[in-house]
Amino acid sequence: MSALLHGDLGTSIVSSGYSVNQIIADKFPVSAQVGLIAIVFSCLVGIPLGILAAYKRGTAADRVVTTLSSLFSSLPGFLLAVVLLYAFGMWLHALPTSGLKSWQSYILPVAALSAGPASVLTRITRAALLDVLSQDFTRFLKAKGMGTRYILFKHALRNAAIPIVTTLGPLTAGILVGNLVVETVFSIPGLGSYMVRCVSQRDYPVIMGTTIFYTTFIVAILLVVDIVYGLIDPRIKLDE
Amino acid sequence: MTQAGQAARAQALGLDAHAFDPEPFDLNAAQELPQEEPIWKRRLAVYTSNKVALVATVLLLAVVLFGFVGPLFVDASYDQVFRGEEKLAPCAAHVFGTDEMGRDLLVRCMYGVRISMSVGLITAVAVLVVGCLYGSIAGWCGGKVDLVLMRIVEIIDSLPAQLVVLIMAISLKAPIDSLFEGMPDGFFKQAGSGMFCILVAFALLYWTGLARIVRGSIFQLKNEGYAMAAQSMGAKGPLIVWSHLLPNSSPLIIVEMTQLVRDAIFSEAFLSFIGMGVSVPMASLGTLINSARDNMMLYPYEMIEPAVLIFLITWSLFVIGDALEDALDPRML
Repeated sequence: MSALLHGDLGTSIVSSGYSVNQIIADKFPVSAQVGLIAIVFSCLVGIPLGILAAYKRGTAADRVVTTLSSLFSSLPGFLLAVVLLYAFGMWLHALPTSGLKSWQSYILPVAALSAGPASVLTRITRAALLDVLSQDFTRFLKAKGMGTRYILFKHALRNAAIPIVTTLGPLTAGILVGNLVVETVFSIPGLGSYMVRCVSQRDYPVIMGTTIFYTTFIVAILLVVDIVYGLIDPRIKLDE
Repeated sequence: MTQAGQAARAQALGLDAHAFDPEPFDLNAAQELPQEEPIWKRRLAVYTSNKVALVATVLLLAVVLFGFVGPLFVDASYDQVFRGEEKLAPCAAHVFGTDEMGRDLLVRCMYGVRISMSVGLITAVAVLVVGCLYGSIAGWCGGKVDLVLMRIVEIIDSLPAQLVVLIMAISLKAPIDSLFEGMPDGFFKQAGSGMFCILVAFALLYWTGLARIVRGSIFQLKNEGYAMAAQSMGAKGPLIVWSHLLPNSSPLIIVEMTQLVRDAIFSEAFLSFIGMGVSVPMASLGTLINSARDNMMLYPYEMIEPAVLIFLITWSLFVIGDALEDALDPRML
């Protein structure tokens, strides 16, 4: 326990001689790279789709987006990974199925990782925007003669930012956990697939160590999200 | 203006002398107002007007029947090996085909659904008890009690649940294994200690969302007139919470529960997939998908069947949760 407090997570039972710290230092950068691309990608897809659905509320475009997001958010990540692997890798032979050798090999893992988070982001963005658009000040802006698009991008989006940023914290956690499965399915040499291998080999020190590492990492991200609140919304002050 | 003045004014305007008289109040007419429909009927109408939700409800019922009633109509058991009938594609004798050891996949999928649904339901019951109790105490007592209780919830919430379940499942394994030694053979023992660890871990971690919701709702409702009236008549806190406040929070609780069952089923499939869930030869949807992964090119049906089942369960729970939220929303009525 005191070793843990000094930052030492112990040594692996199975791959003898390797300390858990060393394993994390070796493997985490690979996972972080894939995870980061997935987070950026899901923001780039999810938020614009949410804006589109809110802007075109009630139309066919809105219905298509909400249906797709409900479909993708009820697919477990590992299932999507396996289906993508089968469809694009083995059936169509269009994309590489394992490793991270070229840029094409990032496509499938990133798609599998970010589909769930992107659909959550879409739903949250749509709900937050619709909530803001139904408030009095947007009706006032409309009465003043402002165009819907101007209100949406200049005023509504900034007010809807808080719920969107709030979901980014748990979303990052979800992507890190999803990484365990996606890395295993696509044989990516990252920390996630290593951890799953340790689960089957009952290498308890490594499982404990990596889980503690991941947990600390996620708690740190939640803290960062809390601090970002203050930057986005001047009404929220930390010292109150 | 006096009565006489009013009459004079009405006459001046060319109206009937009684034009300004107040409408006579007829008590009988007030009682003949159309009887209001019961609230659940209107809620049912909102729910059934959502066609997608109806489809989802039927599908979910079908899958539940498949998992819980299905095994009664099939002769084979989940670990029965049919020699010489390995790796069969779906056919008349084995509707879902057989796996590489010659086990009937129809039965294995049924048990997989059974495991998934049981995990969801057992977690839901445990969470319902803990979450309502915890949330009621925090909401009703308020003040310092609420402050301390909610800080504990925030600490648990800030941890990533699936990873903590992983740690807990590992560290709970030894004590639960020794507990299992003396237990009679039953459903839990068949499913294995790994499954039991997962259930305990879920019950210990997943109640925070419900506790938050119940606490918020009770905080708001305890200042309503009926709660104060009950208090003024001498009702004690627990009675008011149990018979007035919790029933009034039930829409929020029900919606949260569908979400929770879905989360639990997701997490169980995930943990089974990475090898932490049920022990062989029992089948869960996650382990079925994982073991089908090796021969995906040659025997895709081994993967497709459990995959479709798990998708049906999670999707229909998602849609039902959404529809219930609409149907139970007081603003919709």
